[in-house]
Amino acid sequence: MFSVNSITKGLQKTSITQVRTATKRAAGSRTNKNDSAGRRLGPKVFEGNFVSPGQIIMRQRGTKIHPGENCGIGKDHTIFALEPGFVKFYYDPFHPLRKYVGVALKKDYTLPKDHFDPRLRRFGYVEITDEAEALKEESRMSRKEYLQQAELTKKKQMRAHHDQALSTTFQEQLSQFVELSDDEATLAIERLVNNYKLIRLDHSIEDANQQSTFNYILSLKSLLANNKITQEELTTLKEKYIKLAEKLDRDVTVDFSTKQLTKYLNSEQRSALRNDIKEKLNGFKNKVISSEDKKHIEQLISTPLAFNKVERADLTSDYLPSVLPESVEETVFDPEKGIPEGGKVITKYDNTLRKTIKIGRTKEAFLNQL
Amino acid sequence: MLRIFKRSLNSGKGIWSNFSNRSETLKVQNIKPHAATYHSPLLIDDAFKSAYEILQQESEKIYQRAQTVEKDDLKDKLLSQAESKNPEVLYNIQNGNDLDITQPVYRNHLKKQWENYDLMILMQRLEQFKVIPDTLPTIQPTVDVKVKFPHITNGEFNRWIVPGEFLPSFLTKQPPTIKLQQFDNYKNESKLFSIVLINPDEPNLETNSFKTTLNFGVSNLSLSLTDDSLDVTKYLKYENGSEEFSMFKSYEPILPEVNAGDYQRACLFVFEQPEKINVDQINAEDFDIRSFVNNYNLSPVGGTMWRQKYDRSVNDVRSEYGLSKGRVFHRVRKPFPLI
Repeated sequence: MFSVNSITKGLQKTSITQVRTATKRAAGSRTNKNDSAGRRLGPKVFEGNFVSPGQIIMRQRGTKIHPGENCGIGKDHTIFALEPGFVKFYYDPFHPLRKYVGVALKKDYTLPKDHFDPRLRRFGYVEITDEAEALKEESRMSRKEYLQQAELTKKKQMRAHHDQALSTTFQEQLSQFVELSDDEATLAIERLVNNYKLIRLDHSIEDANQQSTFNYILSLKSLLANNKITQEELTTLKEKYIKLAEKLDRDVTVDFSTKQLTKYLNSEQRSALRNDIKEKLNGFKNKVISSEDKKHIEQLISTPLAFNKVERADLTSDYLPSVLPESVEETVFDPEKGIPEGGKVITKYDNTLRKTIKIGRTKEAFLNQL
Repeated sequence: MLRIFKRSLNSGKGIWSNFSNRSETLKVQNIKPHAATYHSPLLIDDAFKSAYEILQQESEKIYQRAQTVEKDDLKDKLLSQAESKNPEVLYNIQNGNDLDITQPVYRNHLKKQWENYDLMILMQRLEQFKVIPDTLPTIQPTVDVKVKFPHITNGEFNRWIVPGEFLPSFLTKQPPTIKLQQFDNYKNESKLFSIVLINPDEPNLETNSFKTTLNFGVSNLSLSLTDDSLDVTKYLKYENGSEEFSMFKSYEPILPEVNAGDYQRACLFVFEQPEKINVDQINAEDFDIRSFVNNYNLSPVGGTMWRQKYDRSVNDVRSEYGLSKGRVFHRVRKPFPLI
């Protein structure tokens, strides 16, 4: 029988030798070796510290902390100050999961500010006290502005030229409407030129009149502000002008299309005039229109003070269409029976017949060729 | 569109043909004589006629209900509803005719139109340019405020201004025409308004910060639905002494100085007054709008804003108002802290 002892003795005598089989080496030693130096991340200034614009407050990977008031963020999420002030770390109730850092412009100012409080803002610009330098800075132009100068001067000259031309025509015509002294005439012409410019922009005659009066009153006030006249003079000049304006507006106004002076008509007279013209125009409906008729219609439509630009365009398309409607029977012929001189054959779709038909139109139908 | 003229062809007895209690402005206006010809599908006229009758009957019922209602806003809503499917009303709305603001249906349409575009633009500009909360804490407009400068003879600016845009000083040198379009004034009553124009971007060199200046202040301005604007006519009346409102600060345009920031904001606010007020002791040079609103118990109902910066017309306007030459700042912003 073997005793237990003899077995353990036998085991003790046999030494276990490790055998390496053909397997792959253990991996992992290759990449883990590459450890870089610390990136020195973290806050660079702390709560309450003073920072200048551009100073770095925080270096970080990702936005551990978000840029708050008066702070900017770089492409590597570096947070820096935009304004000089005191660093404050805070939470914003609008983004409860974020931490913020901001720059408070005053030491005792807390962030975030109350949502409905006005912002505290820094001006930061310094006045130039040297007069010559100030003048130089003021007259400095951007490249764009500099390049526009030639065109601007040209436009200004053109405007002045245009105004001058208007004043001359008005001066020649004014005496036909009202008798005024020389001083009054100068004011009146100025007023009429301004009125013309406003009426051209679709102001009503009455609005334009009021605006011109108001302009004059403001120009008087400007003289008063510059101590060129006294308060009493202002009052007398104002009253004088208002009287002149009343006298002028009663008799004369400007026609925007011809740029000529014309007799003033009040709104009732104008609407009566409009109705009268429309009635006359209706006489030309559904008729062949000769070149004389065309001229007459054009004249009626452009009667001074009757219609504005839009109304004129509407009336022109109604009464002087480029092609007369087919309801004018004289302008329609049957193309199968031969084509008269200057006539044209038009192919069109007829809605009731549901097919294309050919219609002949005489040359009178084409008003645009008259 | 031509079908709507068959109002009389349809029985002609319904509520939409009866103009004894209804306004004439609910009739079709400004028919274009040469509207594009429309060829209706076969038998559509009969269908239209019966649909018209049904809608008209419904409208009649709503009118009857409106008579029993006491509350103004509900009554207005019903009256608007009663006309909202009337083809003539729809024609007027679609063709952009001048709509009669006293009619609930048109007023509600205009309100919706305002809320869907102009109000959104306004709120965007007020928030993005930080007008709120730099001036008032916040504002919930109920009145459409439009501004234009009618003295200008340059066609480019002959229009209502869009909130937030840059305006040149030659344009803003005269007080603007301000139009207040009310929408919840159901009975076309006259209400009292105050208007202020402030500039929160005036440099304050003592503190190296900004202060607010008051550039225009009007109070006790009585306006209704139809008489809705402060314009040259009223300014002239004021000049001639037959005043309809009080002016606690006469108009002084915003005239930015050279390099004084990127731009200055002109903030125009309209307040509704509970009663007539007498504004005195206003510090226009350093104006506190929040205390002003509190002191006079005003409720902000609307506003608009534009921006201005130094331009070549500033000096001329300065001399027109008898102001001294403006300061010139260095164009580089210095890092001096707030005092």
